[in-house]
Amino acid sequence: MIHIEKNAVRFYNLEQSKKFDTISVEFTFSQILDKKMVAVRNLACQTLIRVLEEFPSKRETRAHFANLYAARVGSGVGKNGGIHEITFQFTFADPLVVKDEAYTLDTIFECMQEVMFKPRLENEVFLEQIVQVEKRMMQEKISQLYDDKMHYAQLKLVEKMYENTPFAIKAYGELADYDMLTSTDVFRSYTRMLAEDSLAIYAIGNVSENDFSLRFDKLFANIQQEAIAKIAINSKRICRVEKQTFQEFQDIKQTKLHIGYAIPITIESETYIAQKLAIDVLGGGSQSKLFQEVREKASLAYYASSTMDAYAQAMYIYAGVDESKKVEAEEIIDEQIICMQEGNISEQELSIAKLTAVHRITSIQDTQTGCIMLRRTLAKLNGIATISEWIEAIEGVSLQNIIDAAKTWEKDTVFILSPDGSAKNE
Amino acid sequence: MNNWKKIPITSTQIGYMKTLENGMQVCLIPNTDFHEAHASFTTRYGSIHRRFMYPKTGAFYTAPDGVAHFLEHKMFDQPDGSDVFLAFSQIGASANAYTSHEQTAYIFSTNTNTAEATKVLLDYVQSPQFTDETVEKEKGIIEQEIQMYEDQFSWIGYRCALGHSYPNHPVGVDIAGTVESIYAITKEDLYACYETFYHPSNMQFIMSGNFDLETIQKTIIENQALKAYQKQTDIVMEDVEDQTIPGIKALKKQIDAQTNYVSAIFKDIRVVKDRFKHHIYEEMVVDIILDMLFSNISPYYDQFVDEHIVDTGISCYATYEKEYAFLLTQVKTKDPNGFIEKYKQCWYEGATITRDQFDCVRKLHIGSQIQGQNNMSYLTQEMGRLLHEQLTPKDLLEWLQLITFEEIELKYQEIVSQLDSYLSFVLLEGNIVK
Repeated sequence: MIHIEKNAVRFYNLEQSKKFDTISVEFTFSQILDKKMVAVRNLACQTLIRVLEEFPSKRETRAHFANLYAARVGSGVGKNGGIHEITFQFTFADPLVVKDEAYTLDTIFECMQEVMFKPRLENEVFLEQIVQVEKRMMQEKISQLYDDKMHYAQLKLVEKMYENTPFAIKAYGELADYDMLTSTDVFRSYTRMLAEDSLAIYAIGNVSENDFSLRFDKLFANIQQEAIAKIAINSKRICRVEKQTFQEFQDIKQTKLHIGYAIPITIESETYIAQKLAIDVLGGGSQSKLFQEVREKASLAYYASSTMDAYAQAMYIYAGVDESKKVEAEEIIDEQIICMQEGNISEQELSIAKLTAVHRITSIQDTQTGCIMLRRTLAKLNGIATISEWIEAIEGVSLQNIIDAAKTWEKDTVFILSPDGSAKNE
Repeated sequence: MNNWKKIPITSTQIGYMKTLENGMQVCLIPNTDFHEAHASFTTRYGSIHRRFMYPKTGAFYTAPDGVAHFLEHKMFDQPDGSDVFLAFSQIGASANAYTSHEQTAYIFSTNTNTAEATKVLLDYVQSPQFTDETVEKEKGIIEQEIQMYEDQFSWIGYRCALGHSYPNHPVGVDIAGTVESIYAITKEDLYACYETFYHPSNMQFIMSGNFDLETIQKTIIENQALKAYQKQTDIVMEDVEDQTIPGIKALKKQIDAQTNYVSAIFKDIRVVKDRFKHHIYEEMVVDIILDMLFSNISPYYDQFVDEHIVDTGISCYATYEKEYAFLLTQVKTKDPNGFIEKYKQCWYEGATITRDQFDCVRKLHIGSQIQGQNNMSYLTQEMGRLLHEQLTPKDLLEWLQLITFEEIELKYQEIVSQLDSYLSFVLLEGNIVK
């Protein structure tokens, strides 16, 4: 695997692997997070991949991808701390597997060039009709997050927990941000992305690293990029003095109990790995305290888990319970937190959390998107450059490290989504 | 080891197959390019196997709805009270299970101690332990699982669509049952189903990925040789025919949502029996027809999206089993009546049922099959579906290349001729639609 820093703003991470029958490529463009720009950047990356210059309708463009043995082309946005990212993902069947003379590595790179640099334009901007349809669909998707009740409860927790802070900025923006956007705005955002964002290229498949590198150089040869200053990922969070609780009522069957804890750790912290492991001990799998106590012993839930937000300095706990049992469920959860903070953690619990974490790292390498995700994470971990160093760091975490991590957890916000009619009963 | 049949599973991977003395089918697909081994121990027993002849009594037995899924939950309890998940975790393996209409699968993945994990899997599934107390305890957990799905609108649409089309067949009932039916389940029900369906002759073990072939072959054979099983006669199921003509009437239900969810279900009674060589082949033909009409490379698709007849896209697939067959299409839409009219129009018009469109969609399916081969977890699951049919993913890829446009046209005409009677719609009306 080679990891090449081309210049201040371009970074390659290329891996030759013979085990996959496909070639996967991701281009990630990164820019300083700006609330006013997230929606237009999102719309730009959605619009870019819809209609190519040579295939003048959406259908013809998709048929072109289908004819390339189901080439998959996707795009999306995300954020890492103070950085906003646009990622384009490509998956192609390996020409060595397909065995069609007309389908070669050149075919694949031509496709990526068409997508990134040759969209269909009208009056030197994206087609207005395409932009307006994409805008409508994005607004539909955002408003329909309300319909996914677990996701909605989590969104509300985050909104309440980080109100009036940069952590509350959504990578895709707010509904109203899209209203006034035109094809000119969106096209300008696309050209700015090419000129001003830093670019990371990840690729994995049965292609030599040299072949990859030369072709990517050629693909991006005409892009002139200005350097962006590196910025600190996070400012320090202000911890809440008193926890806050919110409840909302909807016509649903099951109560969604979501709890946010403030923790003073990010993915770049020295103690990140211990913190992540502590959260796994709490609620990361079938042997975790939450699963055993809330589900197996008390039979209160089908799911009860905890996860870490590596950039927003937070841990989230969520469980789906009967409304009549929500108080009991929250009490049991609180008890597990206290348990860990007081050191009631067995060597077996720690050992299983470590085995599970290591297993996760090895198993994820069996998919191309997993390999790429690992590379991205490695680039951020403090003092860890390889997978074996990462595994070593996990195995080196002690019980005391876990207890110290648990002691940093401060209950911040509770959001409860309850069935209608439950307010009348209280 | 001798007596194992060597068979190409995909264009690049070989499998080793054997039927053991106790009747269990085994398929092992070693591939040391990967880190993980993925295993599945599967029984051909799912939610549709509701009424069957219980070998112990010789009489027909009707199990409450949701038993197959309940059994899957309880299988993790062991006679000595130990925790199977713990046993897997301690050796670095990750375990799970799932139940479908047709089968129940117990799975693990690991990159270490593969032989040990294999023994754990075989032993725990083959040593049932059900008590009144543990059965009662599980009801609260499964009730919350059912409630969780009841808040997912796509799932509700799917369940209502099947329930409407198959009022007399167990496929019309939710896999997990209902809250009422699970509270009626007893340990006797669990034992009756276990004893009937979990005999090794009704089961298969599949492993793909990184493992030592000889070690796993030896582990399985030795493990099974220690267990005495009486030969079991063929399982007798009660024939369930559901010839209900559901009609086009739309079912309606209110939901707390920002949009409307529409599920269109076509119940295929297969007017021409045995037209195709296999029900999986027929499913592939119908999946191609669906993509020709409604996938994003159909000209119809952009009409739906650009004219705002659907919100963001169209999802559809076909399910063809021996006893039942249906096509399901699901959308979110602010214009349910507009969608229903346009959907029917597309079927009747069939303007995209052309040779060019067929060639393009077929290439898409070939590409998707090739991409699936990358994934050992998917390969294990897919072999779980295909093994007892004596098929492999390689066979499916070859079939894809054999399907003719004439077959597509014939099947399309057959479906259209039945639409009036067998196409139904479920509408979940969002109460805050703007």
